[in-house]
Amino acid sequence: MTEEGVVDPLLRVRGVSKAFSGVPALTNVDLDLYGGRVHALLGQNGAGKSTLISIISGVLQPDAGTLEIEGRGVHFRDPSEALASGIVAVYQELSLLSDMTVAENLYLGIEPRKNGLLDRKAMAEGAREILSRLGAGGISPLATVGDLTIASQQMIEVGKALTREAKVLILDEPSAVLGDDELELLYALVGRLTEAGISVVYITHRLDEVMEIADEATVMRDGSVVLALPRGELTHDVMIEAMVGRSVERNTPPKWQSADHAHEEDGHGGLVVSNLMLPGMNETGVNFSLRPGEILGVAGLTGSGRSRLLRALAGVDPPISGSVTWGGGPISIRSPRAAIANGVVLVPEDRKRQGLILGQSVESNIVLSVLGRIATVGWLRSSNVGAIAQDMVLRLQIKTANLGQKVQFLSGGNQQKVVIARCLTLSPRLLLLDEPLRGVDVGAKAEIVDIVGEIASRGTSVIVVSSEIEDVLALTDRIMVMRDGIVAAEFRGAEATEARIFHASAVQGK
Amino acid sequence: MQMKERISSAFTDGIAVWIMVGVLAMLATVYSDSFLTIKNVPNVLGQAVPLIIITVGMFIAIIAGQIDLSVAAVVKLTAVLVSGIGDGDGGKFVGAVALAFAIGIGIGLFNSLLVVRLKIPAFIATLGTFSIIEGLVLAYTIKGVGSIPTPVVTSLYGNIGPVPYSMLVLVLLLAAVGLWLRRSRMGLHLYAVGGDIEVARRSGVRSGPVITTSLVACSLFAVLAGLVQVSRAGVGAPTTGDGMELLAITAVVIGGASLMGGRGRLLGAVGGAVLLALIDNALNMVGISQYTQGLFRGAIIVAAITVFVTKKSAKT
Repeated sequence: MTEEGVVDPLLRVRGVSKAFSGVPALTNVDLDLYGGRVHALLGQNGAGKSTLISIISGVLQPDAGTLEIEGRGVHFRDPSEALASGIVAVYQELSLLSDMTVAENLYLGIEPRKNGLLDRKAMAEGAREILSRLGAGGISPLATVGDLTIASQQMIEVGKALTREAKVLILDEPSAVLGDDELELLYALVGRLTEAGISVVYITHRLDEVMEIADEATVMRDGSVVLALPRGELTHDVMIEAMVGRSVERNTPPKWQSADHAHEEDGHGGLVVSNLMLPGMNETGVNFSLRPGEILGVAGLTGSGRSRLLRALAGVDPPISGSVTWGGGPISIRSPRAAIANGVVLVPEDRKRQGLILGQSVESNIVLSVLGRIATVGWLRSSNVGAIAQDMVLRLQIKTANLGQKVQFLSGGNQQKVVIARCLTLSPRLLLLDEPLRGVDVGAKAEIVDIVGEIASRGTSVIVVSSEIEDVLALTDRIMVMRDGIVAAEFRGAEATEARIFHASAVQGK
Repeated sequence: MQMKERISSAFTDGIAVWIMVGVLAMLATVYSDSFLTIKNVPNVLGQAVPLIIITVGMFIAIIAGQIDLSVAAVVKLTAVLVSGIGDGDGGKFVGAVALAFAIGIGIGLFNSLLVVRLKIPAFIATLGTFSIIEGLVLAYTIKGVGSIPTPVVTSLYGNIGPVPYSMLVLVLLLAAVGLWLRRSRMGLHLYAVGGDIEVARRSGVRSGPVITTSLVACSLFAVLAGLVQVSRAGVGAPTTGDGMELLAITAVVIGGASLMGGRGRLLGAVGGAVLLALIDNALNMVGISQYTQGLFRGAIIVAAITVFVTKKSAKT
């Protein structure tokens, strides 16, 4: 390696701009990536990170600007050309073929051949070696990808980059899907790759992660680069300020705080869950209670049963046994329809697939669940529908051009608000939120936290599940930790700290 | 639960359909004296050959996430061309066959132009092509034209034991296609593009040439099927091949392939075609009228699908 400052960048991006149907997504972006370094790319959703990496990896073509690899101008017409130049992107959404084997996925597009035929033996052997490098030697190269867990699939996604002899490796928010063990492996791998001279672009929302692994960081906002700093000058506050464009106070108290009488378990007129056995979990069952207007956070690792609990309560995957009562009387949750009739409503984890009809308007999505209630002999009155939707748009401050706007064009945060709005039209007694803050930018997170607080203040009980302890703590200081399908611990008030919650989730391992 | 999964995987692996073939053949043997005879068995197999060939083509298109509704029209076009132009003459027949294959490639390229370049869904694009070819054929003739050289016809009726020559050639062809799908790069890419075109693209697979390959292959198999069909008949009628596109799609589906693409086994699709041929023959043998055969055929297919297809559980 030559000295600092003399090294030429591996990839040089200059003046790149891109607009979608006239709306600029990127404006005059510069970026330099150096071999052997980890470059963190930060920014809220909609800041232009995805567009930028799509251009670098050939998925999109820029309207203006240039790309140079090792001083040579390049112009990628599609991803295969970027791959051939050594630029490999690992996307946040899985890009694997679930009906194909692990080996086939790893070598798709760069299959080894012998005498013109696929060399399946070499594929299997290569796959085995890559899997063991990833610390995932337990996965068979011949396993069908669709049968693997999401975490294993993500490792294979990373493995795909290894088969491709990357010069530049782009990792799009791996920490959003990987568990902590896998992340440790990933960090180690990133270390080895940079030692080998590869340039790694690491996109993340977790600032601690940036401090831990990045050599430099670029912060984007509204399609432009607003900050580019070496590691030595990085601090949480500098990065947050650059991302949101204003200073943000940290460590605000939670929206809802446990009261003194928190330990009264019975006769409070709310929810009591007893010995609830969750499908797919071999344990004794879940017990807890919740008063009207109370917010309960549920933490736990992937597979701990936290999402299953919500799905069970919502009647999506009904519990095997156990009882659920409200105000002392049993309520039925044997189907989503029964749960809704009893005032239990779920805001699902995957809002794009389970929560919204993306191609339909904001208005249609909001009133979707109550069409039957607001229709007159099967016919809808547009004034009626519009009024309900307009109320919700105002109450939740949904940022949309108009009620007829298609939901797919809204930002992640506003899409989430539309799902919540639809659920609120059902006037729930118990609102279940599964990962409500996932994929939502910092500003919208704060707004959704406010909204949930407001919902609870009107007397609706809320259960929030999140893989981000920090997010749960912003909402409530009553946290239930799940592990292996049971309640492993519960923390209230000042007891509820990130360290304790994390410990309770992770102790005893897998 | 586990039993159900096993049944379902036997279906997607293309095994279930062969079990059905076996069961149906046994039933037909028991209920009809004339089913398992030296006269009937070659007849069933010979009848099945064109459908199997066209099913192979359809399977390739469906695996790649496409569909080709123009295949029956291609069969028809091939039949009237080789019969009309060849008109019983060996030399002209060979020329006409070459022309038919060239036209087959042309039709496949035309379909892929519509699908790949103009981004028209294959269903609509090939429906249009179907109509165009059908119109051309009917403009050319509305009744049987010309004839097929006698040696060609007789060779198709020659057997080794109960197995027709055409079936033997077909087995070799199937082995070659099977090897191509399983062991070639293009084979893997067909499954990848059908499984998820965007994932394939981001992995560096160019989807255009893959889709083109699938549609051209499908047309070529249709030409071959037309050739066999017309050679068995001896004369090219403009009704040749009618309805075969739907039979081929049905065969692919009961063979366990996904209509959405990316999943399926060649042998399963072949089994589907054999089953369809067998159903018709068995219904004939047990004396069910031609007019009500559709009812029985449909009922058997729906029953089979109901038993075997369990809804894939949603991923969490």
